[in-house]
Amino acid sequence: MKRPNENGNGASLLLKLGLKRQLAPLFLLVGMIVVQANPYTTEVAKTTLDFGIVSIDQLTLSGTVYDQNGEPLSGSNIVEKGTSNGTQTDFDGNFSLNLSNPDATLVVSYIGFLKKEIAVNGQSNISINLEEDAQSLDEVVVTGYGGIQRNEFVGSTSVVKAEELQQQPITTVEQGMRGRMAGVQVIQSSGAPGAGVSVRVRGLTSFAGGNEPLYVIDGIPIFNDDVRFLNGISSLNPNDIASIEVLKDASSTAIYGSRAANGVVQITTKGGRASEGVKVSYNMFTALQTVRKRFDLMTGDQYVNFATDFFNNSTTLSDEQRATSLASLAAVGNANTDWQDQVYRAGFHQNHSLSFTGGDGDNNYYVSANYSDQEGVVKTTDFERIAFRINLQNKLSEKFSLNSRVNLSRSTNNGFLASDGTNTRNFGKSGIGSTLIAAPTVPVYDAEGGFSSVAPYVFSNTDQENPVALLEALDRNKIIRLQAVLSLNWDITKNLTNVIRTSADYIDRKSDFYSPKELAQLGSQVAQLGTSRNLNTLVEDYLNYKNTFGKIGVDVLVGASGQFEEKNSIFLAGTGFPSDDLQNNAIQAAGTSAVPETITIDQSLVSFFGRVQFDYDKKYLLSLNARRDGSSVFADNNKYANFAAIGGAWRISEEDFMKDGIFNNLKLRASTGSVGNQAIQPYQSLSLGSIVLTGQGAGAGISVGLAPNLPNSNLTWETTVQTNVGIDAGLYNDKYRFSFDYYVKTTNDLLATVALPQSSGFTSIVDNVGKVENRGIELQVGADIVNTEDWYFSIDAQYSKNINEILETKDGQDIFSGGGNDASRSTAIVRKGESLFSFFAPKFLGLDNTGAPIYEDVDGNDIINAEDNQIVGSPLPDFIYGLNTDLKYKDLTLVTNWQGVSGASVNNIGLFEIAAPNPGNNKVANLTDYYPQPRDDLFVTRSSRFIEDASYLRLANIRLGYDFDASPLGLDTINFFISAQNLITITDYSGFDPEVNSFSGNDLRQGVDLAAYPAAKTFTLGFNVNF
Amino acid sequence: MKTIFYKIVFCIFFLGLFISCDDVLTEEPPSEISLESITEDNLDALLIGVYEPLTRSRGRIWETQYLLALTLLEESSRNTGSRDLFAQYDFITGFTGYQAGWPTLYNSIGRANILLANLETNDLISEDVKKQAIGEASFVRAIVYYTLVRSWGSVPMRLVPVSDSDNTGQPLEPVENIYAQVLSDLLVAESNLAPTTDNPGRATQGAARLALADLYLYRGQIQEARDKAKEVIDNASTYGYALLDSYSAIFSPTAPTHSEDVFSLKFSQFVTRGNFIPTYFAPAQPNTLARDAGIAARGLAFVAVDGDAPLIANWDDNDLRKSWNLYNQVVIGGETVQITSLPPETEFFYGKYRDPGAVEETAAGNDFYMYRYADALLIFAETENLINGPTAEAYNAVNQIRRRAYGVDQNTLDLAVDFPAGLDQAAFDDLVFQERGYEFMAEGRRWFDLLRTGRYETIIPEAGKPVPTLFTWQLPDSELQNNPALK
Repeated sequence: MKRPNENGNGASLLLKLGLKRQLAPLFLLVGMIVVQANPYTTEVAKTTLDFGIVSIDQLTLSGTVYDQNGEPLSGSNIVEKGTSNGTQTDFDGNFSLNLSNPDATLVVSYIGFLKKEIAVNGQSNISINLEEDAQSLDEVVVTGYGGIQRNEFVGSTSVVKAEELQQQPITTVEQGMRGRMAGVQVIQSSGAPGAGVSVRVRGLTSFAGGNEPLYVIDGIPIFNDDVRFLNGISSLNPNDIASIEVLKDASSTAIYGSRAANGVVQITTKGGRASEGVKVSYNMFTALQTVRKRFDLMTGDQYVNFATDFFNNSTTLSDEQRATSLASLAAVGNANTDWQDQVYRAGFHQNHSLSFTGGDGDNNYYVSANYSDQEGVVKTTDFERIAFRINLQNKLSEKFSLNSRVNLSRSTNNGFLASDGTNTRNFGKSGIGSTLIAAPTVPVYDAEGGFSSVAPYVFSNTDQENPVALLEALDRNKIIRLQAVLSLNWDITKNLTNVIRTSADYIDRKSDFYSPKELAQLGSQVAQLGTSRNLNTLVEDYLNYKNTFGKIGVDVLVGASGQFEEKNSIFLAGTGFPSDDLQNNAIQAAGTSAVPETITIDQSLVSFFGRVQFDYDKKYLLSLNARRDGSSVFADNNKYANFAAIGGAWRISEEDFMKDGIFNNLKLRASTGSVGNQAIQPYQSLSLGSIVLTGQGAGAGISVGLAPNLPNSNLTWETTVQTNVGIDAGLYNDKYRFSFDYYVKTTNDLLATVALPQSSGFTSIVDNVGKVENRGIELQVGADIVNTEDWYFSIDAQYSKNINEILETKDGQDIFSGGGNDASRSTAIVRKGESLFSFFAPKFLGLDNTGAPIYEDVDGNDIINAEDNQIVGSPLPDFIYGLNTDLKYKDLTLVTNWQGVSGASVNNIGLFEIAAPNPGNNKVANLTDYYPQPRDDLFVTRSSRFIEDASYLRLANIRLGYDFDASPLGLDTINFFISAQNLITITDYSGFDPEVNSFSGNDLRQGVDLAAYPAAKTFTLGFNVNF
Repeated sequence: MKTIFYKIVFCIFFLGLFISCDDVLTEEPPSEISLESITEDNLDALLIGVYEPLTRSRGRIWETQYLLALTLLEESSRNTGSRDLFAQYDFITGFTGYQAGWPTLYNSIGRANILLANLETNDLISEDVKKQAIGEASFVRAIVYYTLVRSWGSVPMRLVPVSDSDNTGQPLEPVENIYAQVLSDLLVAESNLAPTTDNPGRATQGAARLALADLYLYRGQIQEARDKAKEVIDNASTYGYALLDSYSAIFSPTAPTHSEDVFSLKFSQFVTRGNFIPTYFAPAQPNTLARDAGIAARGLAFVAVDGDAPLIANWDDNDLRKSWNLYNQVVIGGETVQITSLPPETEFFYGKYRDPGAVEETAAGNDFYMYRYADALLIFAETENLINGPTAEAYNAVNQIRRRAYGVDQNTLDLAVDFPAGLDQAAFDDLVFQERGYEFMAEGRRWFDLLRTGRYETIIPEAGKPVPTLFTWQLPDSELQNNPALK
């Protein structure tokens, strides 16, 4: 705090640092929040004032602070005891302080080190050594309802720390989990900014129950059930995250009972840190993104030649048909338009995060603001987030303390009309789909200045739009989310504490759609407005008793919790407006309005939970966890279910015979237990009539009918029993690190939406239908290969293999997933002995000597239909892996993050559309590789031919950073970096990107690429500054 | 809501571990209606629910994919790609979009089954109300099975509702059994239904009788067909039936109903509650032509007309039905615009269904007439001739249709318009057949007329298309895969 007058106002300093002027109000606002929300700011101001007065006549002490290895410690705090006079060490560990008294005592502190008091005794130069605090070096695992020292934890977890998140310019938290955690697969739905991300922990266990893990953000369980668009995690600023801990085995997840079958992701945000004055951190980066890979499509000339040949080669066309088609081809001419050029752009991304933290130890605060604006590589698409966070810890009295955390964010996403496989948004009317199939022969604009028709021929597929015109459509999702949690901790006795926690998670989601007048195929002047409000409230209370009796340590937890969710949604639509400018902001002006739809859904979960942990001499560890959940969504006789797990560990490294060995840590772990899944839609067990509307009975009006449902009164919980054994090892003080896990997860009473024969009168029912097993291994190894004064090099790698197998289905029946209109003759299947959601389609055998495709005719009836489908691949990977390296030379750091997936297939429906042997729309330039002689008598169907191996290895991130000497500027640290994302991708997949899942969130349709938004290659420049 | 919340708080803080909080977990869905019992209060809504699947919009049902399929099968229809293959009776590699209608058809059957099963034992509803409801549900079930059996042949026939996820398999039923069930349901409907209804689009006794006439005709029971058609004609005033003066007025997108409407699927000018078919039939190029010409919100050009087919080539220009059913030019802003984007080998688009007021593709108000009074007259003329020869009654029935088509008074002799006198039985039959072709163009009757009379063997090749060798369509994949009784 050398320059208190500057440090006292972080905002003004940041402005000097060259922030964009438009952001100024934001930071000023944050500045105000700091002043308003934090009583210690005045304290700080007083300190600085005092400091100014005291500095008149004292002696000056200078010195250096080192750690136990003699390395200087920058940023350590030095305070003259009994005063508020203090300073910090600079980059080289040096400090200088004016003392009021030559016999003063210094208090020296640094995070992770034991606090030290030193008498000055009149010296003018002093050298101080701090000892590491062994206790604080043992990281804490954030478990449910509390934490535990990592080396005393019996469960299986993977963790990502704040420092690792910092290595990569990320906009959403899940991106930071990619390739860093064994057993955790992160799949982006597409390359679109703000695109949904799904996370899989140890394979797939369900299909109606969902496969996303339970997120617990600062203690609030959030079920992230909608991962297609902006999801619950995208509202978080990655810079606010202190750690992400993924709990994987039963002993660590059973405390979350019915929601834990897919693992639990514990996200902890940064708390306030005690410090002298306010600590400010500012991180920013800017990035440039370009399309990583394009489709090589026909040019206008190639297309004209192809179409000409097609008609001349065709055998079924009459002379008249042929002549008309060729005449139509000639009449249009050729403008040689490259539609991909018209639609793609270089996208600019900027991200700013500013945080303030401080406090006196009893009352600490962390306040932050974040602004992220990412333009996509397709024109008009973007993702923007503004987020504020206030985290406060207050000691109210000796016995009571308060912990409050509030996050407010607004995320906005402009998309490009992703195809959803329905008639409304089919391929030709989706943004990217239309770009790929638009006729390359027509210009963007016609002679009158309107948009050209991109289906200009008599033989064109008619249901498509001009992609440049589609850019003018409004396709926006916006989420405002407020997450607040308040915990009151009561230290009843030294050993007994009670926590009362309440939280609210309020999500206001709005989706906007407008199709301007010229978009006749998409729907001229169609406006839609969907809003949903979702309030999730939680109340819980738990007691925790900790004590040691001799060598026996005991930790007991009991609690109860209630969570209530209320969802309201409204959908409005109208068509025909006086002006396109209104977009969807005045639906009352519509010529015709759709009937408004409103839906209210309530659900609740009441739970009791407990945990008992014993240890003997910190060597033998035992943990018992249990939860009883009552959920409203099940049938009356199945409302409650019990889940429990037991886990134990043996810390071999603590045994006497190991004490002086090479192992600083060696631990064997084992656990077994049950967890559940209840994430089905409510009301499935009740006999209900859904409201249906029809023109029936009222001519031009509407009448209301009731459609009886098919209730399932036996609906019950899906239960997953998991057994895990593992070993953790650290050698030579963690210079070499090793962790291995083997698990078997068996899910019973699998919840599924089962397609019924449509002749039953119903399309589907939610039912408990079978049993699925996931078994696998996870391996995590790391080594600090070089660690010298100037050089440091470490490698960390993960490998996870999961085998998914269906052990039983109801009555041995296959279960099929439904598809959209893009899925005819290819679906996904659940079949005993196979993995979940295998691709089920006709098998492509090759081409006959006329160039016609041959499919395997399984039933030999000369008709290729669903009866000829067979299993032709799996969207699930054989294994996933990641490799992270960290190279440091003096102040330079080079980080690489590699990430790979092996053995997963993707159904490339986009390619199927643009590699069909007909000129109905544009095609890939190498069409003759697929059909040597494209003509009209070829029977073409979706088949194994377009189900491709989507294995890949990619350099997800490479980053070169430089730590500047910040002390001359009076700052703590400055780091500049350049980095690149997706610089190298090695794959045989022919689509835009092998990491794709167009129906993310729809578990029945995994691994489908329906002309997903193209992935980007990104170059980033940024800096972090702390003072 | 608030009370539940406080209850949770209460449960947890005070009694949590010891008492049951079960009522917190009781579900009370706010946006749906509990159907623990069927009463007179919810019966009418449930009946509307039986009809509802048949009037869903957006390419899923009769009015779009199914009607498109039947229209493609008329001998004069052509298109491009897979739709053209289908139009040439290739039901294997051709278009399969009609399968989208399958689940909606069975939705209606399923809802009818639920009602019929419940009404058998229901003592909460008065006998009169029950009788009418049984009639309506039976009627809908009959016409849906009639549709299924004629298009797909042998299909699963389910008459009792499924109660749970087990035993949902249903084997294919022999065609004869399905027809027998259709007949029995229609007879129940005929005896239960009231003669008329105040709610357009709901079944009546007249509708059941005309449906019976149509069924008998299709099944070759000529005498029964004649008698039922005659009953309808004789009771026309009771039922309120009469031909409209204007042919085009039948297809008005705004009229709730009219005197020629015996039974139709009703659509509204509401987004997602309208008829999609004008968009399917309208020209696609230029992009905005269909809208600017007041035909449909947009055009997809999924079917077009070969003007060289004899039925079309021989059509008298003075027949007002021709200019309504076929067009190749439109008027936009007072200017006549020739349509150039016709599929190869075609000269016209079908113009039967047009809605200039449809702002969106799913919002056309045109109804789909399953039975109109013209059916009664033409069935009677055909069957009367087959039994008794071209009697005056037969002439009178068909001439009413002819005169209306030429815009002259229906009940005044008009030699220029009427069927020529002195026709022999065969010539009269041929002319009635041709008359049906004109009158019901693009109304889903032609393909079945060609089949039932055997004329497909001559008329279709004369129109330049191959003689059909397949007469029923493929079952949808979803049924084949999910119905254990079909494996």
